[in-house]
Amino acid sequence: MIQHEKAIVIKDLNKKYYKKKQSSSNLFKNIKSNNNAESFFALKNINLEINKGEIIGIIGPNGAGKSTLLKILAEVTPPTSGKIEINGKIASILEIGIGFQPDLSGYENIFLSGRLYGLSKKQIKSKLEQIIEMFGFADFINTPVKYYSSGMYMRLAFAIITNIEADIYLFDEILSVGDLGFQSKVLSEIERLKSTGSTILIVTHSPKNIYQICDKMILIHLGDVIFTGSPNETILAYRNIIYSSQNVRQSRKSNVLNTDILKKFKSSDIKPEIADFNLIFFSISNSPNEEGETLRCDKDIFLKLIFNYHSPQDFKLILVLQDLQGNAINTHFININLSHSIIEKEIVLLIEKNTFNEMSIMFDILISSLDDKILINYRNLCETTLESNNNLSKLMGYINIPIKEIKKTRNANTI
Amino acid sequence: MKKTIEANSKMSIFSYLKLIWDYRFFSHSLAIGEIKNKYAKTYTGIFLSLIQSLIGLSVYWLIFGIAIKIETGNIPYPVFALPGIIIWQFFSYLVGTSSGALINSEHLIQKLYFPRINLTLAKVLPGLVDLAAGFILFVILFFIFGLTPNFGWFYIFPIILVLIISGLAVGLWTSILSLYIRDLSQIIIQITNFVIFITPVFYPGTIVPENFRFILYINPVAGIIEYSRAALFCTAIPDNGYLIGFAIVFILFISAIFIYKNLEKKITDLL
Repeated sequence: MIQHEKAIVIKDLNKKYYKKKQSSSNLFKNIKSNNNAESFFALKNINLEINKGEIIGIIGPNGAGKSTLLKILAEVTPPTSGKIEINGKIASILEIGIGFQPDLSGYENIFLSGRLYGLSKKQIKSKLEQIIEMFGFADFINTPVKYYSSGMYMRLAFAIITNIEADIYLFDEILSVGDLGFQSKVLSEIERLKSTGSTILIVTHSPKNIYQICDKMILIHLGDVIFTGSPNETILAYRNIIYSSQNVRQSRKSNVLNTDILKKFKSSDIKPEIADFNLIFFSISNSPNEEGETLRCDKDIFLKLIFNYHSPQDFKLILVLQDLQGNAINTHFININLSHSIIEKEIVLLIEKNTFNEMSIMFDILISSLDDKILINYRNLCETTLESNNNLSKLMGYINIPIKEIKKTRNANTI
Repeated sequence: MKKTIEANSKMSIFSYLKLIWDYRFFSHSLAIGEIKNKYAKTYTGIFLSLIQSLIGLSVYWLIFGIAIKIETGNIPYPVFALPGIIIWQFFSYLVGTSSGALINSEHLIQKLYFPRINLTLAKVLPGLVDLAAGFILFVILFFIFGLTPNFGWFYIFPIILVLIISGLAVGLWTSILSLYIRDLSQIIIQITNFVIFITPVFYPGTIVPENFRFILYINPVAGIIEYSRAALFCTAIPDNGYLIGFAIVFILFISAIFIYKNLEKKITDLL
């Protein structure tokens, strides 16, 4: 195996914060409370090695410690313990346009911002034309940036960033600002930076924008690196975390909802707890293990479902493939036998090639009791267009349907 | 390029001073931004501050020069009082804005790496612009009242240097203390409003009885004003007691830089 050159090596990194109360005016109290205040670890024993030339996405829910990690790498805040080695020139973009002085002109801010990113005056001068051209509003270059529109402001900031020429880039939530055009510009710029051999770390809590460009993703939760792997795997792990934390939060709520469902199901004799069925992950591809780039109906199709449920009794999972008119093409029945009350289960289903030649298909997932009384129906789970010979873009769905949205039961006969 | 980030990395004072020097462009940009914000917005620009000084001066002239008749030798009262007023303005501006220098830039501190001390250092230049404007006004008044300049005027440059160090010494300390005492800027306003009267701004230090002179001696601004008058009007050199104040601010200045050096990285978390 090739030994990769490391861009960043993080060893036993810890970051402790003190829970601060509203600052009081008493100096002595303040100093004292700093010593006695409750502390918590924003980052716990982080060990990471980042190879040169990789694009790494750091994901995790809010408050996980992602930004703290980036702040430490950017030397904005020191670690409590541990060591970080950085090989190469690092540019930290924790916010687009940070460091701009509103009263200075665009021209002056190019120099200010460029130098904050570690460029020399000479280097900036040599890139000045290029930056102004990318900015695109050469007439406004001598106007104070406080008069710029937010779009112009970001374009100027971005034009500077693309000319930094660092070895390692840190981006914090860079895709959460700006319109779609700006975001796609950022993405293509990141890919260009990658082609020049730069190492890129992107922090985000919405991974859907970046998973195509990342080589690897790191999932941080409650200050821990809990998963490192391919973007798809990491996102799956991320969904699980969000899902489970939501479950905890909604535990009280779900009692209320359960009684609601109880009313609906009164006609049938099934106990309502079976309603606690949650689809966590759903994917469809031509290969059982990986997400293929394309989906073809002249090849076998694999459906992968991950769900968890809580049920006092056995039930059936029915997967219905329909055309857009609602005619069932193919129906799969899966019997779920209970061994535990709460189970997370993964099912991979094979649909043989040429099962359907329809241009478009729909999936329904139905849950029914063993005597075919349907309890839950995820309608139109996923709607896609399949063409028998042409390549299609990858289809992958993450579905998290709140219990509220579950459609009313349907009679089994209507299938 | 290789860099190591460690928990308690120590930095020598020399490398810290070099770091501050390397980031002087940052202080400079902040200062220019502040000056533009202050002067470019108003139509009258820099003249507004001159007019303000003139109005203030006329009021003090009426009170201290004409009503109370403070003895200023053969120097007309407005010319006598102006250096003290502009020096005091510079000092109180530096101390006043420094108390908010870190707190008001919290957003920058949270997102950008730079030596935090440069935020406070950036306050010097805008203060100097006012000081220069005041000095031009002084020169105009000086000639209007028919006085002749002398070579003592060259001493004004080292005096201004001491003034900057004094302002920074107190300013750097207040900016650090403001991290712990949030309403420090309010307290500072009250203190400066009071201290102006125990500083020889409106009167010569010589009218203060010997028993109470020590109050002036420990006040660096008192010394600066007295020495600047001696230089500008070619009057007697003030007694050496005023050097106590200079020694105090020198110690404060050096200690503040060391405190900043050690606190530098922790400031983000203290905000």
